Amino acid sequence: MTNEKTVQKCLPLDRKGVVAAICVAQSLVVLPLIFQLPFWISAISMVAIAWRLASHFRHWPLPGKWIRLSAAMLGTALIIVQHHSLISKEAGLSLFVVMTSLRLMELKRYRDGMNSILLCFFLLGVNFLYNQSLLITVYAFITLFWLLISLIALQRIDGLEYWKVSTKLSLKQLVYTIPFAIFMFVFFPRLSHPLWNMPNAQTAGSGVSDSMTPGDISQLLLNDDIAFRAKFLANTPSANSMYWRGLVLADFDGLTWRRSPSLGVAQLIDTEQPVEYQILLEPHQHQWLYFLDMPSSTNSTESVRRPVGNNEQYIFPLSEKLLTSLRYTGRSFVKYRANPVLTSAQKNHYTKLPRDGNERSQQWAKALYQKSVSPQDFVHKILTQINQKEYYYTLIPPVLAEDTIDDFWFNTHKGFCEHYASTLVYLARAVGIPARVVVGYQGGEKNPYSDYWVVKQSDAHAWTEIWYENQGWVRVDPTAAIHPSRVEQRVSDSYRQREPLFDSDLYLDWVPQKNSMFKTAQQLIDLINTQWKQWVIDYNQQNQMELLKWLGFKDLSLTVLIRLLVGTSFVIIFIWGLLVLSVGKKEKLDEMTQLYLNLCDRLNRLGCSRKNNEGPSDFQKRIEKRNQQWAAISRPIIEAYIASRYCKMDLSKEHIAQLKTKLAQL
Amino acid sequence: MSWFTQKIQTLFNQWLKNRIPPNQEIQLGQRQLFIFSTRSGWMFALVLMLLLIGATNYQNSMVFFLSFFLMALGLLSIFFTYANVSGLKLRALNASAVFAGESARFPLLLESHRGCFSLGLGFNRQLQIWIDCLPQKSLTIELAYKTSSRGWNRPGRLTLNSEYPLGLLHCWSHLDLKQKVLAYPKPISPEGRLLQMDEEEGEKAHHVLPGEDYQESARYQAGDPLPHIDWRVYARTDELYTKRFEQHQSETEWIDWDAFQGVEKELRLSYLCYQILQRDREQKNYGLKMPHQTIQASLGSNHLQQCLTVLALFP
Repeated sequence: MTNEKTVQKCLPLDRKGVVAAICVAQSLVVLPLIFQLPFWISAISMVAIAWRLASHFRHWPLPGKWIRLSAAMLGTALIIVQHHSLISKEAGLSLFVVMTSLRLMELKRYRDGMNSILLCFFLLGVNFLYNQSLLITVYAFITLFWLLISLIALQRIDGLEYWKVSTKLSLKQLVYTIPFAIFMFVFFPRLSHPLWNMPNAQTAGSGVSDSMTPGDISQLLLNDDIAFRAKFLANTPSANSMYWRGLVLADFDGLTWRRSPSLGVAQLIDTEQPVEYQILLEPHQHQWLYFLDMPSSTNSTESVRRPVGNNEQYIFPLSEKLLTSLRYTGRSFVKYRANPVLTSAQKNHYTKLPRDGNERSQQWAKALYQKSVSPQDFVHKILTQINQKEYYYTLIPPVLAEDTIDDFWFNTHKGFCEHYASTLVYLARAVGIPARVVVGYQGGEKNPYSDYWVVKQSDAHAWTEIWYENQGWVRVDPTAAIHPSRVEQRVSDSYRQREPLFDSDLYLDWVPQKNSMFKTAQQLIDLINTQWKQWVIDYNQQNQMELLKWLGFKDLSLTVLIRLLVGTSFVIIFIWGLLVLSVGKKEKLDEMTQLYLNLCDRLNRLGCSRKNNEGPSDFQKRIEKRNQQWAAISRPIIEAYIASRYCKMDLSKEHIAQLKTKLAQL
Repeated sequence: MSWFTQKIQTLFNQWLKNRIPPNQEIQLGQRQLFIFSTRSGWMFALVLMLLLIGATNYQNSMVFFLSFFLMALGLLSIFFTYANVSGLKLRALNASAVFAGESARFPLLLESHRGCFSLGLGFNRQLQIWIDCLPQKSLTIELAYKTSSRGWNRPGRLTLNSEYPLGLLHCWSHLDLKQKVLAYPKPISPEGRLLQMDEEEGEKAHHVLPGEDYQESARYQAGDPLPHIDWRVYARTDELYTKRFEQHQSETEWIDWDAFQGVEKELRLSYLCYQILQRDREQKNYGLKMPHQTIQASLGSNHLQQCLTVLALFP
C-alpha cells in the first residue's frame, strides 16, 4: 500500500492541560535522576520546564532559535568540561537530559508532544540503571501511569478536560499490560553476558580493598551499606565466631599490607563442624568472594563468574570484577588444621619483613621471644600486653610517625583493628613465626523476620593468622584482646560482636539492646528489599533455566526457547486482544428483543427479510400477505415484543419460553 | 512516472471498491478498517529496541521489565486502536443542493455503541474535522466539499482516521457512502441583456409588494412563504395566517431558454438561474421554458427547487 498516504491534519497542542501534562511527565522522569546528574544540568532542566509552563499559562514568549541553539552548545561544552568526554554513561545521560529539556522549548505541535513523551519512556529506563530498588520501581510505575495519561490526553480532542476518562483508560491499559510484561520478564530468553561492554564509570570498588594501610578499615566503620547477605543452610555458628574471610595480605612495605601470590595448594585436614551457607554478595567491583573461615569449597552455578579456589591462602578470586550481585553457596569448617606443613618457600614468604625500619619493635619482639617457651606463648604474651596495658580501640587514631609499628606499639597505643593486626603479624615475623593479615568482615546481624544474616560495610575487619608447627594456620584476632573499658563508645557495638580473648566483668555487663521501632522498620524494609532483589532484580539466565527445568522443559536450546516464546506470546496477545475487543462490544439485549431478532433472522433465511425502516407491526402485516403459516407463528411473538418494548410490559419467563418453542417450529 | 502512479491509483481504487463496496450505511469492521504504525509508533519501537539492548548489556532486570511492558503496550494498542473505531456506524444523509462553486455540506450520521474518540474525518485523505462519538449516542456532523461544476457532484471516498488511544498506531478507512450533491448553475446576472429585456417588458411589470394586492388571509399551511405570514394576526390570535395575493395569470413571466440565443450553454444556464432567483425574490409567478421541457408558472420553494433542478441536470 505504497500510495496509502493520509494527509494528516493533526490535533493542535494547545488543548486543555496537554502541555502541562507533558511538562509534569518530564519533571517526574528527571526528578529521580537529579542525584546522578551534575547540579547545573538539573537546574537547566527545571528552568526549561518552568519556562514552558509559564509560556503556556502566562503566555511568556518562548526563546528563539538562536537562544536555543546557543543553550544546546553551551550545555554540550559544559558536559565535556565536566565529564571530559561525551560517550561515557554519565555524560550521555547529561546530554540526553539537556537535549530533552531544550526540546520542551520547541513544544509547539502534536508531533513534538509525542516525541517528548516517548523520550520520557526512555529516560524512565535510564533511571533503572542507577537504582532498581522497590521504591524506585513503585515510583517508576506511577510515572508510567502518568505518561500513559498524557499520551492519551495528547490524542484526545478535549485534552485533559475529561481527565477521568484518560485515567480510567490508562489504568485499564496498565492492568491489561502488566500480566503480559511479567510473562515476558520470566520467559524471555536472557543472555548470560552483555552484547558488548558498556562504558561504566564506576570502577573504584567499595568495601574492603586489596591493600591495607592504617585508617582504611576505620573509614568503613560508619558505612551502613550492606556488603552481603548470608543464609545458613546447615549449622549456624555463633555471631562472634563469624569471620568472613576475603583476602590474605602478606606483603608489607613498612606502611601498607598488600596481596601476595599464593604459594601452593590448600591442605585442610581434621575438619570438624561443617557449616553450609548461601551468600548474596553485593556488586563490590572487586575480584574476590567472601567465605566463612575456613572455606573448603564453593558452588557457584554461574560458569562465567566461577571463582578459582584451592590455594593455601584459602581465598576465592574471580576472573572479572563483580559488577552485578552474585549468589553462591559455601562450605566451611569451624574446626580444622590448615596447612600444618609449610614448605621453606612458604615459610620465607610469610616471615619476610622490610629490611629496615621499626628497629625497636624487632628488638622488643626478639627479647620477648627469648623469655617465651613456645611461639604460642610468645603470641599470648603480646595479647596479654594489649589487654593489660593502656591500649585503646578507637576510630580516630593519632597520625603515626615514619616507623608506624614502633610509634603505635610504644607511643600512641591507640589504633583500630588494622593497627593491631599489622603489629601482631610484624612482631611474629620479627622472630621468625610465619604470620599474615586477613581482611574481611566479622559478625553480622540476623534479620529477625527471616532466616538470613546481614553483613554491613561497618562490619569490615582485619585479623591475623599465625602458623604453628602441626597446628597450621591459627586465627588470632588481636583486637579482641583489648580491654572493653578502653573501647571507644562508637565502636563498642562492633567490638562486642567478637568473643573476648580475656575474661572481663565489663563484658558481662553488656545486655543486647532492645530493638527500637526504627530498627524494626529497618529490618522489615531490608527483608522486603532482599526478597525483591532475590526474585526480581537478580533474575537472570541461571534462574530462568532453573525455572524452566522445574516446569519440565529440560535441555532447551535458545532457538527452541525463542520459538516457544514467540508462539506463546502470540496466543496470549491474541486472547488478550479479544478480551479488549469483547469488553463493551455486545449490547445487552433483553430476552424478548433477542427473541424478536431471532425471528427476523429466521425469516430472513426463509427469504422474507425485514426492511430497515419497517416496524414490527408493518412487518407482521407483510408476513401475513406472504405466508399464513409463518404469520401464525410470528404473530404472538411480535405482539409480545410490541408489548414488552413499547408498552413496557413485563413478560413472565414461562411465556417467553413458550414463544421460544413456537419459534423453533419455523 | 505519473502514468505509472496513475495506473497504481486506478488499481488501488478498484481493489478498494471490491473490498469496501459503496453503500449508504456502513458499519466499520475488519473488512473496512486498516491499521498500521504511525511515525510516533516507529519511534516508540526504536525506544523499545534501545531499552532492550541496554537491558541486555547492563543485565538490568527492571529495564527488561520496562521494555516488556512497552512491548505489551505496543501490541495491545493494536486492539485498543481497532476497538475504538470498530463498530462505528456511518450513514450518509442527503446533502442540500448548492450553487456550483459553493461549498456543499454533507451531513453524516454517526453512531457507536461503545464510543469512538478522536476520529478524524474528511474527503479524499484530507482530514477536516476531529470528533468524539460518545457511547450509545448518535451524532450528526457536516463535512464541507467545494463543488466544481453544475449537476451531481461526488466528493469521493470518505476518509476516516483515528490514532486513539496512544497515537502509536492509526486505524483508517476509505468509505464510499454514495454521497452526492446537486449543484445548480452558478447564477450570473445577464447584465445588459436583462436590462434590455426589462425595458421591453417594463410596461407590463407589476410589482407586487406585500400588503398591496392582498385579498384575504388563510390558515398557514406548510410550504407557504414566510414573508407572507400575517404577523399582526398572529400577535392577536396566536394563530398563523398567510396572506393570499391575487394571482395575476396574465402577469406570468416565462424564463425562456431561447431568450439568450447564441450564448454558450453553461453561461446561458447561469443567466436563467439568476433570473429564476430574481423572480423568486420578487415573489412573482414564473415558469420555465427549456428545449425539452416546460414548467408551468408557479411560485414557492418547491417550484424554485424544481426549476433549478431542471437547470442543474440540463444535459
